[in-house]
Amino acid sequence: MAFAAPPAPDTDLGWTPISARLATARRLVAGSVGGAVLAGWLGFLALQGAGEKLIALVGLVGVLSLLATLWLIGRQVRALGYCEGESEFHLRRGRLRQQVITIPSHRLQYVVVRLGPVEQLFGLASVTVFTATPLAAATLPGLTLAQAEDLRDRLAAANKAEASSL
Amino acid sequence: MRVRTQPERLSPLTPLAKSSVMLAAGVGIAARDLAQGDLGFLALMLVGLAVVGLVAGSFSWWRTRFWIEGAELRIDGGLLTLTSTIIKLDRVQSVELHRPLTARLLGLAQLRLEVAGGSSDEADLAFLSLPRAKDFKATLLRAKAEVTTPLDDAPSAVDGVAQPEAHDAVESAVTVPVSTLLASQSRTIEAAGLVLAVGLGLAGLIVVNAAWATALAVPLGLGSGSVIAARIARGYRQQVEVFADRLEVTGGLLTTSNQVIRRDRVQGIVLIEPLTWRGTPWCRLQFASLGVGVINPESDRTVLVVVIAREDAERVIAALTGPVPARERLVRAPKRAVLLDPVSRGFHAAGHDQHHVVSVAGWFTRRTHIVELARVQAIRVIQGPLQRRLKLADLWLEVPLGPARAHLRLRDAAQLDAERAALLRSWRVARAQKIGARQGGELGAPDDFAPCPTQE
Repeated sequence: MAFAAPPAPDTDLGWTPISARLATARRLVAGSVGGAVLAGWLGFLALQGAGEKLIALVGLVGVLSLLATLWLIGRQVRALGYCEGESEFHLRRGRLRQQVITIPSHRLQYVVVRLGPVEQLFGLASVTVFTATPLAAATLPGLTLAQAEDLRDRLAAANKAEASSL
Repeated sequence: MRVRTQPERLSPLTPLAKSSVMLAAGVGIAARDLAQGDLGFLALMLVGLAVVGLVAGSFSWWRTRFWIEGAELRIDGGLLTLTSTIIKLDRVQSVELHRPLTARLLGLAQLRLEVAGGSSDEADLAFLSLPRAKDFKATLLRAKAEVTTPLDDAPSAVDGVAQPEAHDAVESAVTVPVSTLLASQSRTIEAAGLVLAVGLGLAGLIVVNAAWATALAVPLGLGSGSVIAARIARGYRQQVEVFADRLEVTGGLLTTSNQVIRRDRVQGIVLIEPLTWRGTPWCRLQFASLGVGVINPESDRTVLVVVIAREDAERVIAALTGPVPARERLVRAPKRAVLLDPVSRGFHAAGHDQHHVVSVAGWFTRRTHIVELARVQAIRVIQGPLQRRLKLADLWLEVPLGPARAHLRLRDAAQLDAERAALLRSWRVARAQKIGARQGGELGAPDDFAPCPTQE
């Protein structure tokens, strides 16, 4: 990876990974939705009286792509991470299309902690950081609730310390 | 001492100015119809609408009052729904004296205030008599200066000594001659379209008497003509002035406007060179200000100089920003980037020094973006799968949405890593300087960063 190194060259901070439970949560959602769709499709084919070979082929392709998705989710989640520098917040994401976003803390307009239904089930939360431009809004999913609240408070505090206008 | 003005009404001619377009259209059509002997339905309807507009406008005028109170401009008014608008003066990005034709005929002017994130016209004062508008604009700017902490280079801010005359010293002033405007507009795609339309029309009428030629010529001619007319109307005697604390762009033929932005509110500068102007000494110049030109980049609220000699533009930019990386020093994408972008690779170039990032993009319309590092909201590095194969990456410097956006495109990844580290370092220094200037400035300045829901 070209940008695997810690982005803040003058600090020793590395990337903090997010909770692996996010992968489990996402896999659960993708697996159940994908499984249901696949089962429905196969059932429909069977009802239509499609040949066994066709059903087997569709089933095989379906299961393989589902497995590939589950594998990709793992990679994606492992690619997510953040790093709190002295005066900046860094976030990286993406496996295929890798991205590193750096936002100075005093540029933050507001921070949002969000808990979706599945996230609640797994005790997770996501933190979204907004600046004055929508192009630089960054969402970090898969934090534990305590981690998310800590991060929010730290960002807000850093923000106050360095408050500055646009 | 805080500025405070008495609540006052807009000019009593306001309803007339606002409904005059419809009134004129109605009267025009009515006159034509009368000449033909009968008064048409359309004319009656337009006159009726104008009268209704006049009555409603008068009522709204009677209810509207505005005044400055401490750090705020307040506008109370509304037709059916009473609205009370409070505009924090330190949030005002720019003030513009705008004079559409009808307002000029009536001796009126509109004050347009641009507020970040605001919709187009909620902070407008339309209309005031011209002297009152000028006077109130000065009062507004004075009140604004009192409540805003100076952010950068105004020397009085650092010394803590008021030097009002320093603010009125012009650092750079350029007036674009009408001949330049006309000559430059004759070398545009639209001018070519106009010539083509006239040629087609004439050929269609005289030579072959073909209806299709006319059918093609009319919309082409009207379209091209209106674009050129709009540019000439806007660029007529345009003047760019850089003061110690602000930038002013003034001009216009039918609608005259005087746009004022505080220098520390300029988010970026874009120098625009259309293909047809290559080899000429002209360019266009656009100044990005917060919240303006996001939805409609052609809106007349954006600060745009229709044409200016390139050396004048460079002088203005130099006055505003100090030295920026020269175009010759900008770096292009490496040769192998051709695989990803065979067409425009050669037209992208970018570079930075400790204070500014400059990037050039585009072939048909070449845009040079100049962004001050201290204004950058976030830095993003992106690398897609193909880019990774070729060891390339993109770097975006995000500034508030608007015309200016600097971008280091398809750079060598290893080099970009180093460049990014350097950028982060200069960025930090630039921000620290800004904050230092701010905190070292005036004591007891209002904290104009309002953290959203955390303060309860």
